[in-house]
Amino acid sequence: MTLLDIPTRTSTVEHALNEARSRIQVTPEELAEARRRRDALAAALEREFGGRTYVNGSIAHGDALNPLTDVDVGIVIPDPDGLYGPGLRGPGALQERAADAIRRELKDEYPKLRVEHLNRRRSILVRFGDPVTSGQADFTADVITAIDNRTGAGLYIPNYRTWDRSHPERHTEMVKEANAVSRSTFARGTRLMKHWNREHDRPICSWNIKALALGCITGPVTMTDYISTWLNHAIEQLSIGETPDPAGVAGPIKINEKFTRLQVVAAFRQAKADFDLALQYEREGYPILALNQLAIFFGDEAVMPKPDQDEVKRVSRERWREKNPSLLHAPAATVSTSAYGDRLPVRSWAC
Amino acid sequence: MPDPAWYGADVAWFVPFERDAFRLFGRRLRVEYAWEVLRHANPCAVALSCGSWIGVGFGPPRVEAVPRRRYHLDGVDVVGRVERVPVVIEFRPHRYFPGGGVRDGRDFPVVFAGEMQDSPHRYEDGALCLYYPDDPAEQRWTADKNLAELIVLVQDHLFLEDTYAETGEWLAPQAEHGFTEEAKRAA
Repeated sequence: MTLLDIPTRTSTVEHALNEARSRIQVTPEELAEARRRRDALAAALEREFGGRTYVNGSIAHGDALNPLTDVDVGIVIPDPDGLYGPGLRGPGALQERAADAIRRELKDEYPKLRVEHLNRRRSILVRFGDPVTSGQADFTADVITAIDNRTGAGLYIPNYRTWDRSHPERHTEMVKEANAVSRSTFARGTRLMKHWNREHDRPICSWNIKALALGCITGPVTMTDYISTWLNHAIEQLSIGETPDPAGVAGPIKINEKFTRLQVVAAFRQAKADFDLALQYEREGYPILALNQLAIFFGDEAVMPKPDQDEVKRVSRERWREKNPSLLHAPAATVSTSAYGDRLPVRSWAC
Repeated sequence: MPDPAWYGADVAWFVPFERDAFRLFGRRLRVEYAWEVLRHANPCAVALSCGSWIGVGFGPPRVEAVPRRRYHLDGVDVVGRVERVPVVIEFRPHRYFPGGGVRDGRDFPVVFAGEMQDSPHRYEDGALCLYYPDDPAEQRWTADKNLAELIVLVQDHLFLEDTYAETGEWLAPQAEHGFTEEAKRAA
């Protein structure tokens, strides 16, 4: 195998992860339609302001999930007179012009189009009133009106009435480089962790998942190795502090405000315990238990269904008997059905 | 006023005890401080760990507030079950076992998880009988092991109950019910 080959793993867990990945993948038709709308927005903005547009988010990064509900695009607005920026004019007037331009140029094609720009922290929200994925309520776009940072790296992007530093163009470059060097396994594994995150109350945002992956996925990996490596790295990083901006421009990436940082780490520790137990079952030769544990890890029957539970119970009993052969006292801890450790050698009792 | 010896209010006890469990379960685990008001009439009665009451003689009527330290885990996975099972683990100052006397509550929490009518290893109030109180400390759960290890026992116990319901077999070692082993040894 050369360094550029994608590692293969013919295991139950790896096969199931790839199956799950295919279930959450966006269809080419949906992607094409989302890109078409994004390009229409970009064209409208460039006609209004000149300057350059950039793409960001899951579609640009190749890790979009089904259902596809939004797209991200930004415009870097020329400011030759240096009127805008921290301590100068805020982004309000630029956002209003951008919103008007989008309404003017897209309203004919999307009659239910709504554009919201007031009292929003960063982006202009475009509601198309027309979903890309059937069955979804709508499809939206987050549009950022940015200006160049004349004295440092990156851009200034809106933060209500003022500006924050960020480098979204560099972020997209970094993710594209990671996708190229990993032969797209970076994007594939990211999709799985994004789906896990979505099913577990979204402790961190999608960009945080990718920022963490940039720190640990540096070549082609199997999906099994992606998840193991990513969880180890996420636990290590978030135990120290919030994830730094990979571009080194913006502040650390915030976690979901409904969680404390240590609660996020706990969620990942639990995920790791569940995933490790799936791998242990596989090593021990119990594929059905590995699949059951993987289903527990994901917590989503549609993407990773639990196998037949009667069979799972039967095989679990078989394993229990094999691993704990004696019903007499064992001197040490015995094998458990739990992901959280071995079982103490106790005797069940009743008064 | 809480008893100054009440370990459940002592940070030196509960911080190391619960640390690993919170590190693992995060916001899925919460702790509740509660008081149970006991009204001792004349004659007095004592609640057994089984959930029933026995008279212990005559005494003046009085009201007593007994502290509880209660952990709620929103659910544990049990092999072969689709839904998670919520767990409540309650620590009391002491726990009384009929025939076995009063024990240090730290090592004998009351654990509730799911229901099973004919389980061979539950108390009358539905609490789980996880281990034999008179086994040596290394062969039962004690508070110096941590809360997470107790939760492992709970998960296995529920799996063992499900197995028992289907096959009539209890797959793990069992002690005789009651404190008969001591009685036999003493005889």
